[in-house]
Amino acid sequence: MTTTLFVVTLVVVTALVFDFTNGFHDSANAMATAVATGALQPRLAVLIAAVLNVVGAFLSTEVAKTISGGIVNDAVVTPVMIFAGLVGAILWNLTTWLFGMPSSSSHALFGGLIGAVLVGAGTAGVNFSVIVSKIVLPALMAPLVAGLAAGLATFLVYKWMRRAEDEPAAGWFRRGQTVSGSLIALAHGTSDGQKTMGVITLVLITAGYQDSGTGPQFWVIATAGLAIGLGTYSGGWRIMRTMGKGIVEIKAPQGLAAETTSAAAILASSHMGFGLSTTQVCAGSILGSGVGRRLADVRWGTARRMVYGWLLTLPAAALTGGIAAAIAGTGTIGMVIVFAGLVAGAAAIYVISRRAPVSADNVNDARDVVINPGETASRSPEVIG
Amino acid sequence: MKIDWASLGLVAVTTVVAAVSIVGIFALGVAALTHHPAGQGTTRGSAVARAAGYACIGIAGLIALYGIYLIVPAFH
Repeated sequence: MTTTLFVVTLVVVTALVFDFTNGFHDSANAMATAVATGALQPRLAVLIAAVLNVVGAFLSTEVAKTISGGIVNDAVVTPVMIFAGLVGAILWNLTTWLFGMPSSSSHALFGGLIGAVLVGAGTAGVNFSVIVSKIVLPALMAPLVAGLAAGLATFLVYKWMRRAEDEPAAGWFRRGQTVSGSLIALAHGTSDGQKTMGVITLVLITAGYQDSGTGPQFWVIATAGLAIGLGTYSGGWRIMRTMGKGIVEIKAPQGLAAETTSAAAILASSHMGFGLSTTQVCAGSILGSGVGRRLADVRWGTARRMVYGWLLTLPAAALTGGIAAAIAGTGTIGMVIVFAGLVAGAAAIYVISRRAPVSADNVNDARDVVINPGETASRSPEVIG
Repeated sequence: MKIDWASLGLVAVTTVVAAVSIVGIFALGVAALTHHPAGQGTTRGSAVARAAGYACIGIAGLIALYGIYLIVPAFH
């Protein structure tokens, strides 16, 4: 096996692992409120989301022109830097999952790449102004816009309908939620599934295994679609609990308002050229639907921790990506060491998560995701009910 | 640094208007379908309400189809 083939194989495997974490991280965006209100049984919800993710991945195979949309200078990016960036993004995705924190997978990937490029090519490889205009500003705007829209929509529903939460009205809202949640899952498959395909295709082209300017090969589409679908099906129940129960107790009308807003925001942003993070849109909508119903209902402590997570995503993934790039840059042995570190880190996080596991069976049983069993009472003094 | 304020504003306004109108239409439909006036609601009146309710839900469904149209690149 030649060195190039080895490097390419390692990058492809790592990219697929990232795609898997992307799937279970974002499962909650589409289905958390539907699971929380009982519109869909948890396992059925993630099955629908997974199938739609795979369908979405096959629908949209027009590979992105650049990996990062101009955040890093793609001309200086090597496969080793992509590898290091992916490692940083995966480890951050797993860490936030352990704490049940919804955070943007795209931002984690950008952060990892930024760190890897900083180490590998210096500050000239990173466009800092693009970071502000494409990451920081959208990150501020997404929750505000989605929160405002979902808040208004929720407020109006409750103003018009005194018995919106009672049957049979609630049943209608739950059915509506199923549709809007499915739209989010489909949109997610077309956008995020395509990111991993883009990364793999770019690496194949860089290494000379594929002609420049050609689209992704079938096995790339199939494996990337499968990876994100499997990730989605595995559910990311820790994040699902925070999104569905942790921020606000969601009733069916709120769930419909939140998911419709999220779908509208995602479609508007992807068609009008101002990309917003799906995760931040969905979290903002859920928060807004809480404010629109009754102010005291929102658990601001959880919302605050979530915002801290968003602020940390870029620097934390960049730090990890940078360290990975420094080690992987030393050669093949370095890459093997980084990959071993990734496996060890992922295994450690998984083992820690087993102390207080969250699954399809208990996702709705509590409102907080904790690391140690019995920690619930001390961690959530702000529980209002 | 170039910030595309125009498309940011457009996205924000579109999101708010779309979300409020879709949820509004759907809620109107649900209200019409589940509203049972106290006393003797005329059969004729409730039939009209039911038709209007299904129409509203139908419009919301068409908007969802438009969403699928927007998502699938092959359509445009």
